[in-house]
Amino acid sequence: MNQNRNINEKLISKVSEIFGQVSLVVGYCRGNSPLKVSPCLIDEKKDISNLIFNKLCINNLATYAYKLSKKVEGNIGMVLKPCDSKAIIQLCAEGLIEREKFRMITVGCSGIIDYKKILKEIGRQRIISLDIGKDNIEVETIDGKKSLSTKNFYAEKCYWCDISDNPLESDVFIENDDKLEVEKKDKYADIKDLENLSIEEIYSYWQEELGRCIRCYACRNVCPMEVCQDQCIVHLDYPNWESQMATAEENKFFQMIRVMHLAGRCVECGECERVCPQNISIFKLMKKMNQVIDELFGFSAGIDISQKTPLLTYKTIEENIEEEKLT
Amino acid sequence: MENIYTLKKQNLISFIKSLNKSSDVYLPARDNKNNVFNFFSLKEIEEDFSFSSQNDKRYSMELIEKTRLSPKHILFPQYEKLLDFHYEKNPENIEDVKIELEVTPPERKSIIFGLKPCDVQGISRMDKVFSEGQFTDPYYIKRRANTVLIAIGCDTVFDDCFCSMVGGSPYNFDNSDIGLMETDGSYVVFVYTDKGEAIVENNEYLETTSDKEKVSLKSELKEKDEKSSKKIESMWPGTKYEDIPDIMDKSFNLKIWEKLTEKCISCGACTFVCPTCYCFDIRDEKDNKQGQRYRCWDFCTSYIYTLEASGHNPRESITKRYKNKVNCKFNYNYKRHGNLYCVGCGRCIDVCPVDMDIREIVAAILEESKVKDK
Repeated sequence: MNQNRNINEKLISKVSEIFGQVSLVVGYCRGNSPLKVSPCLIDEKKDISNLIFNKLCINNLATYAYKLSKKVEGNIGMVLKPCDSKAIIQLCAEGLIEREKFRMITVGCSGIIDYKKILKEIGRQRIISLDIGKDNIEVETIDGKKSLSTKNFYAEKCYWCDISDNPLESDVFIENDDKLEVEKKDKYADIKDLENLSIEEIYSYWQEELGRCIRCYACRNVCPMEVCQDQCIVHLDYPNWESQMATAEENKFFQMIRVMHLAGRCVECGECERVCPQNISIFKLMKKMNQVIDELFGFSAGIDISQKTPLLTYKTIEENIEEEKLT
Repeated sequence: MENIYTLKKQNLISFIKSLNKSSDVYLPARDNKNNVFNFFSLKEIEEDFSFSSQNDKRYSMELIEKTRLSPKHILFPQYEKLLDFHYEKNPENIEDVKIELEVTPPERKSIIFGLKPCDVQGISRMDKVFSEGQFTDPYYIKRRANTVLIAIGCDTVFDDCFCSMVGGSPYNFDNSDIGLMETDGSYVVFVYTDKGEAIVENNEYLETTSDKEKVSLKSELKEKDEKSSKKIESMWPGTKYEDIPDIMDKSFNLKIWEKLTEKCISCGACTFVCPTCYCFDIRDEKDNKQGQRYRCWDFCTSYIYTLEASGHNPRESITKRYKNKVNCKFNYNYKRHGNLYCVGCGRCIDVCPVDMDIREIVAAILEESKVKDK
């Protein structure tokens, strides 16, 4: 864990350096269990030393960007992984936040461990200690010690990440001596599997997945791009677009709204699926829509601040859309 | 009415199956396909279910862990139809309207098996909300009257367990109809109510105990309860849980609330997994001249929860909303019903997307109020 101490020190010293320029820093602090870290909002210099960065920092802190930009006077510093910075880029590209208001403190990333995968392996237990090494994760629980192979426990998005050491946009970059070393996976493998099924099978797959949704809206609220959650169409009474009865049908409709709303905007941080209390695989929907947007418009969200999301603008002639097919 | 039986471990499965004949048994089961662990109706999952986890069936029973969702959805479903309505208008006379209402109260008899003591405490809190005071809820009361609660004591304490900090304990069978205590080769079955006795009466798998055994089993239960309570270390040492409501009152305007709550993202995950959160919304949905009135869960951390028709929102900020949530559990309902409305199951801590910890928040308020007192 020496590496960690090293990166923590670098982070703390960089943040201390720029603290005068920003009035608030959003970063990671120790969480309530050895498996988790907690987002923290720091507005006093003395608290900077609480900041940490390690392989458990899975939250995308850009979730706070939009709300804080409306609330906080002065600039905001934000600790980001290179993949998280895509959300800030996209929010800026859409004019939802101002780039000048944010100091992007980007930390080189050696891959993030998905605590849900660890819990699946060891069961919910009292965890005494957790040590994530390059090759092995050593977990000590009240039932004894267990050694897990690190390479199997990364968050899914890490397996196709190509910007871990190379953020697309940043103000302060903190280099990580540890690099991301994973065997690359096909991002769309699970989607291909699903698409190979018959229509009936795909239908019953989603019927089962979304049949267990409890409509807690964690997926919506954790999303950095879903900035209109307080005025969400889902809650509207007149007209009553969406029933509050959480049937599989209605839940699918709710996810459909999310997918359409995020078309060409989703930066694929995977937070929606991570936070789902019912482990519903909603990230698949987002990935599919992004695939379609890429095919049609050659666009991926969160890459370029100056580029407009295709569905927020128009061209008189779209190269990849055959108009006669639409009618 | 109190009776004590024993049940050999190898007969547990047959015992549960015998209960499932006259009622619907709900039990904690893991859906191995989707990695979800909740209470399921045995009748609904029976086809692909095994009582043992060493099996390749889709569902398997598990009695040690806590379920992800609390069992409240069995008595208070996520959404529930209250009535169907239909109306006719006389085109000649607009005042002549005929309205027909149809109410179908829930009839199902059920047994919830494998509840944790904190789950039972949660249900007892729900009981007070829906059946005490001026307005009572016929749907809940009906369903509850037809439900028997079988609890099982906890030998394992998880990271987020804190029942003993809020007045509970891992072997507290208050409000249960039946409580199970695991011993070496068998379960001791404590039957506390007539309702409980009715379902186990003459059950072939239960063995009676002598008066002498009863006395010693009772003291064993007490011993276990005390021992397991000690496994949970209090995060507010020195403060009795009964004193928290008054401290909350005094602490209402503390500035620290903002700091403690600003990272909350206003979703409803904590509320929906909570065994005592009872807020709901009632809505009518109609198609032409017929439709239904239903209720569905609602959550106080949502911006829309307190949004008024005028556009004004008295709890506009998350700090105000979260402060209300903590006070609802640790203050208002204590004054209304005489209990804290947090039973220490820790599910909210488990599911929170941003690692909010209600124990830490209450501890910080208690600490800050002490500083202020000086």
